[in-house]
Amino acid sequence: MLKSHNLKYIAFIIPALVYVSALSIFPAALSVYRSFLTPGGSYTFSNYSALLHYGLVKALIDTMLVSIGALILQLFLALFIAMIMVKPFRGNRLFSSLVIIPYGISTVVSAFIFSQIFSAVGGYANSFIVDFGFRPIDWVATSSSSLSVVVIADYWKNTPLVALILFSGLSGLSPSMYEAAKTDGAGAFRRFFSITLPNLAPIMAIALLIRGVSEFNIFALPLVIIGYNPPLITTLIYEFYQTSSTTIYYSYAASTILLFIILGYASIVLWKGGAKSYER
Amino acid sequence: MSVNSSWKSNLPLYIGAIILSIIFFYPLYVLILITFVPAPLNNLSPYPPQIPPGFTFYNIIQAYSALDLTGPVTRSFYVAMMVGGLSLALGIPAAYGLNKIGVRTANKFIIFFFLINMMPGIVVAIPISVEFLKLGLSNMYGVALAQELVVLPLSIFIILGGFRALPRDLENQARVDGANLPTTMYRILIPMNRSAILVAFLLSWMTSWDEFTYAVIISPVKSTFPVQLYNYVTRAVSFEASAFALTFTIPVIIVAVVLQKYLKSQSFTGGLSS
Amino acid sequence: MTYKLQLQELEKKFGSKTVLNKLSLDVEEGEFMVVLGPSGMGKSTLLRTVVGIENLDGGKIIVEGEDVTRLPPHKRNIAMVFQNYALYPNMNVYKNIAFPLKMIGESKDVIDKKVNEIASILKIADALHQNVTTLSGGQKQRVALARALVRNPKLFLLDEPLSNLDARVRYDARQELRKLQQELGHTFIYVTHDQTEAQSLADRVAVLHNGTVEQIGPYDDLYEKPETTWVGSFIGEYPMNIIDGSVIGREGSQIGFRPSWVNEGDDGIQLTVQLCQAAESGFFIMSTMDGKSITIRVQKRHKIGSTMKFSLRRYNVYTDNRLVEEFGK
Repeated sequence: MLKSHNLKYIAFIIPALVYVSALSIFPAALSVYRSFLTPGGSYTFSNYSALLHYGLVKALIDTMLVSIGALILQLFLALFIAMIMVKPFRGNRLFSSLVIIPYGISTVVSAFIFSQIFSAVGGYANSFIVDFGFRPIDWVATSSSSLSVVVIADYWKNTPLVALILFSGLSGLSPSMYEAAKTDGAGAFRRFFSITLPNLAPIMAIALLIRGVSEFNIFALPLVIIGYNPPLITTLIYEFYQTSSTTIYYSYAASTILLFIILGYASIVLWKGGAKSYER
Repeated sequence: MSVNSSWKSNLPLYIGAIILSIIFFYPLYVLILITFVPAPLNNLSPYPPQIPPGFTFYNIIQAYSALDLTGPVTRSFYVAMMVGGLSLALGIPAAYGLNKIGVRTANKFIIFFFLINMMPGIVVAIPISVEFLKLGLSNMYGVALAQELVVLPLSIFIILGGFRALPRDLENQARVDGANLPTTMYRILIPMNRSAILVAFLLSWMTSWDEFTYAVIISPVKSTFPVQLYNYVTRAVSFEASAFALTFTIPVIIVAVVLQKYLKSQSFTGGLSS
Repeated sequence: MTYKLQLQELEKKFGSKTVLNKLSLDVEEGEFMVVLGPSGMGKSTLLRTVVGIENLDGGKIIVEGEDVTRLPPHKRNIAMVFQNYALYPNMNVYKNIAFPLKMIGESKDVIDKKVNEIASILKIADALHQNVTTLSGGQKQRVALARALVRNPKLFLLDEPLSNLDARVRYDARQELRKLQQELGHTFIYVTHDQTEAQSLADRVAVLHNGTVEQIGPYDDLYEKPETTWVGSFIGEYPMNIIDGSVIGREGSQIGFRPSWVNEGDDGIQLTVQLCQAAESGFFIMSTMDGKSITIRVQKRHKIGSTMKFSLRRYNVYTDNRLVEEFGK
């Protein structure tokens, strides 16, 4: 319920509201609308049927695989980092700084670096492999190895943020809980699984939700490292957008599908999150 | 727990820290290798050496003389400034208003802003670029306007956190002392909330400096530094590109480390409650 | 007669809770008015509406004959000292005090002169260039007061300005505040829940209850003849004893008396001593009568558990909780 004097203060929020609406809701609606148009301006479903022909389903599945893979890898690494960051030890600050640095590095720079590590021929990863006497690997030869490279490259830029979120969660856990568990004779593993993990679960969920959406929208990294082969949903859209004034309508259709996937995901998250906050 | 607990009991901790440090430092190391190892030594075999066999500034000099650096960097700088400035121009009033309307209502708006933030960049960028083309905004202004979308929700959230930590009566006192709202804002509220505002500005600045999707779609030519770097990478001029990448990564690393201190200590929300 | 401030039927609600309920109050020029009431009775809200940082749901605020109800705070020229002093931490003492003058566009020289003047009156001249976060509680209170006084406003509102001070400092600050107000001749409206402050500061005290002024007058009047039983039991170190009138033959009404309004004797009302407390002025006997606790003051010590009798030298008669008659004054 809004009180009348609140209206005055809502006026302060209106510029920001109008701004984000004009630059995101309006264009998104435009995308949806144009996805049903031909370049000539008549209504059609052909943009959608063309997408199936151009491998939409595989792109979606690949995007999903990359997202899940990246989330698991990042969560795993971030958990270790956060657990080390909360411990007081000599070198903690150096360690924290070192693992946070990639957060500031441009996605394109990080993509460039990983494209040098995992090149088709040679590359720094293959240097290791050859040094140890194994046969070099063509990282972009198959679809699955290409996707793996994207997943691996993604840890660098995005793990720090997850680690920071988990760190704030871990610093919130009370030391007395651990002392009590120690007194009760719980070993390190026991403490991790029965104290750390369950108490960290809510904030881990938040980190997963935030990152989940971003992973699904991953664009610059695959574009630089593997180009359009295999396409993820975003690089597919970009390719259509670049190709011709006809295929741009395919990109509207693919955008619409991506939009609804994200909206669906977000509403599930909000609904679940909302239900949780009511339980409290 | 003491910092000086024995090495032995901390051994697993150190091993873990060292392994993770290597995992996170290695890519940066590769960037340094490519930049400073003489190109011929790197090209002797398809398998570049892990330990630098030589050292040179030639790549950097070559990059600076052969590639157009000042253009993209200047553009990136201006765009980042515009995005940071817009974050404050839109974010400070919005955060002020949200702080006034009560937590419950404010949270609904915050959720709305973050929902908008979830909108895929590429989905929004393509129709925007088509419209901006008509409006003559396929340039740095257009890029800045679009990038603002990415940073505005977080900026509002950070500045709001700062306002919430201020004692409420300070604003009232200023009003009673004869200041109108703009003066109260300028003389009391903004100076008192300056660390949160600074963090919001820096985060916006940094995000814009790194942003690629909107930049490449709205202004593919004569664009910002990440787009230019992408163009060089696709043209396979990797030594120059790496020199390029390294030089312009360093300032951002500094910003990131500075911000990490703020974010870790959370001093930007609680530091002013006196 | 024109008043400095007239409040006419002020109304304020927070959600479904009525905080100010048709509250009316007139304050005279140069008066030290203390608004007294228990915590949470809308005292602060009253000041906030008068100064303009809280909107009213109804009623009028008239300052020097001019209706200011719709004016924003910075146009009312009313000063207020907040409970926590609300000093600007980003400015030093001098800048804090100078701030209101800057807002009305005074010249640098004038500002400098006035700030130094008020600082020497309030004995904070030495601290002018200190950071406000380094000040003691007493100094903070002075700075807040100086900032309010410096621009010569029409009216001063003070919201429990002494409640954050140590007992000793508070006592001194109280005396000084009263002296200052009398010397400068300003009109003060001072909100507190502390009766000692009301007693020692006020020309008149307005007792706030259920969002309205229940009684207004000099403190002694409130003590001697509370107009309602509620005021009687609120004012005074010991609440006024309120017992059923039938004990002295006044059926259908209640009688109220202060602990000191009794004579101990061989006949009269009987009670059992439950507690006997020694004080400078005698002994306070506490007991219960018809389930209500009563306190009387006598000159002799009594043993706990013993019985004694007393008669009323003086009492007030209340019907439906309102004063109808004073007896034995």
